Amino acid sequence: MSTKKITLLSSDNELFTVDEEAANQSLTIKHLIEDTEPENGVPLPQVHSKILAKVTEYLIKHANEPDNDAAAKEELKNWDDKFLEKVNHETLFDLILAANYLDIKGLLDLTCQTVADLMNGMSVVEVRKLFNIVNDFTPEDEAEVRKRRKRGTKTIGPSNDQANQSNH
Amino acid sequence: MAVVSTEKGKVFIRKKKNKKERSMVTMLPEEVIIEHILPRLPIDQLLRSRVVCKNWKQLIRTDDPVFMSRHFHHNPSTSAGCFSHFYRLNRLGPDLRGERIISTLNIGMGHERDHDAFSVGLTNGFYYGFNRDYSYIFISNLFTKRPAILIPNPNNAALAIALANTPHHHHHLNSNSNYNYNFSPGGFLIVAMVLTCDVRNTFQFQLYSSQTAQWRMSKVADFRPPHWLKAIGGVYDGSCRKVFWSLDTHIVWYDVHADDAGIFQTPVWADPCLLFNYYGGPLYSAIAFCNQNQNQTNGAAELSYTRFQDGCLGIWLLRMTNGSNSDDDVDFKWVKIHSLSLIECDDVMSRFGDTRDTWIYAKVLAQMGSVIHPLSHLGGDLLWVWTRTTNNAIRLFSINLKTPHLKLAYYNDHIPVAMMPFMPRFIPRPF
Repeated sequence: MSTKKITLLSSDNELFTVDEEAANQSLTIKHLIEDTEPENGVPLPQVHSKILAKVTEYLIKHANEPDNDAAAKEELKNWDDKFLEKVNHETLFDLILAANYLDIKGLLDLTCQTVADLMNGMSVVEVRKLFNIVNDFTPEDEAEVRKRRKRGTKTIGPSNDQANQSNH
Repeated sequence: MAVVSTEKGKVFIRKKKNKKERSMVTMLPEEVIIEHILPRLPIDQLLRSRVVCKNWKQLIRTDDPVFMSRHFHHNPSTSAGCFSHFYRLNRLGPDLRGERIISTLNIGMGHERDHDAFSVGLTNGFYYGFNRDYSYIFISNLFTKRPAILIPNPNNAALAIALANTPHHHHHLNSNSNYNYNFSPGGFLIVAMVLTCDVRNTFQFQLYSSQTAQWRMSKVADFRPPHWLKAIGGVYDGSCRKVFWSLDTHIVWYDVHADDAGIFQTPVWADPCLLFNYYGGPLYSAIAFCNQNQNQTNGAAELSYTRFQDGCLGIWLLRMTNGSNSDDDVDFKWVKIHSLSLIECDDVMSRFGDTRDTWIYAKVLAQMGSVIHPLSHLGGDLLWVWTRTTNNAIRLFSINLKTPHLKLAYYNDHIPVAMMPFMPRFIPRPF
C-alpha cells in the first residue's frame, strides 16, 4: 500500500500534511477525499490551525493502533494521558467540537472521558463554571428542588401517591 | 476560533470573556453532551448534575433505558451482577457488583418503628418490603435513596407478592418498535395474592398499579392454587402486554390491556436420569426475561425459567407461538437450554474441572441441594445461586454454565437474609 499524503487546510489557511492512513481515522476527511478528491488540500473551515495541529498530532500517533501488543497499548495510553495533560478547558472543548465534526471516534472518546473525569467530584456550581452555563432555575424552582431532595416524596395512601406518579 | 452555530436544539455554553478581546460562544452540540459526556459520569455525579440548569434536567433522563444503557456501558459497576439483601435498621446491603462488595445502602423507609421489615423483592431499581405488621408495603428507589413510598396492604395479612416494573403508557410504545420494552420504566405493578382462597376453583389476586394508584381484583378461572403460595418474580414480556409471575409449579400471566389472566405449567424435567427425583425435594425457581444475544437494545427477550431441585439445575426458555385458530390462541412451549446435576458426586471432579475450590463448592451445593435458590437468569453464561445452611449462613455462588465452573462470591454467617438479584436498566421515577 502506498503511503499517500493528505493535506489538510485549516480555517486560517494553514496546511497540515499527514499519511492517508492517519487521516482516514477521521470519517469526515475520508468521505471528503472519496467524494471530492481535492487537489489543494482538504478544506476544514470549521477547525482552527491551533486545534488542527493537536488533531493531526493525535491522528499520526494513532495511525497504527497495536492489536495485541500489551506494552504498545500501555505506551499509547500513557501518550493519550500526556496528550491532554496541559490542555486548558477551552482547547479541550474545541478539541471535542473538532473530533465530533471530523468524526474521530477515538479522540472524541478520549476528550469526553477527560471532561467527565474533570466533572467527577465537582459541585453543581463548579460544573456550571466549567461549561459556563447560567443557572436558569428561578429561586422558587431551586427552593422546590432543595425541599424535595431533603424531604423526599414520602406518601401514605393512594391519593398522595397518585399526585407523585402523575408527573411523567 | 470556536465554532459558532445558532442551530436549534444545541446547548449554549458561554465562554468566559477574556480580558483581551474575545467574547466567544462555544457550544458543544447537545448530542455530544447527551451521548458522550453525561453517560460517562458516575451515577451520583450524574444525579447531581440534574440541577445544573433546566436543559440538563431535560437531558439527564435516568428513566430512559436508551440513555441509561449508555451510562451502564461506561459504568458497568452500576449494573453488573449485583445482589442485595435486606437487614435491620433500614439498611440494604451489600451490593455485589462484578463479584466485589461495594457498599451497604440506606434505603430510608421513613418510619422509625420499622426497624424490622420483611423483604419482598427487588425489581429494576425499586426495592419492596413489608413493615413488621404487614400493614403496608414500602417501596424505595435504590438510586436516589429517598424515603419510601408507602402503599397500604389491602388485606392486612401476609401476602404472596410478585412485582414488575411497568412500561410507560404511551411514551415508548410506538416510537421505536424494535426496542425491548421489558426494562422500560414508568412505574411498578404489584400482584398480591392472599394465602387462602375463598372461591373454589378460582384463583384470585389483587393488582396495584402505580399508574392508577389503586388496588383491583382479577382472577383465573378453573385453577385451584396450591395450599401455600409462593410467588416469585414478575416480569413484563417484550410486547409489554403481559406480566408473568411464577407460582409454585405454575406460571401465571396477566394481560394488562385486556384485563385477562391465564396460567400454564412450568417445564418438567426432561432428562431421564433426573426423573427419579421429579418433584422430590423443595422447589426453588426464578423467572426473568433474558436476552440471549446480550444486546440490550435489540432483539426480543424471552422468558427464562430457572429451577434448582434436588441438586439439579435446569434453565428453560419459553417460546410463544400463535395457534392456528386465532391471535388469542397462544401456545406456550418450553425449550431447555441448560441442565446441570450436582448430585453425582463421584463424577463431580471430572464434571467441574480441576480446581479444588470448584470441586469443594460442587460438593457443598450437592449436599445442600434441596435449599439452593437460583437467581434469575438474564442471559449469558453466568448463573447466580445462593444457599442457606441450617444455621442461617448464606453462600452465594456463581456458576459458569459453559465450563461449568463454580465460584464462591459472597458468604455471610451472621445475618439470616435472602439474596436478591439486582440488575437495573434505568433509574426509576418518580422518587
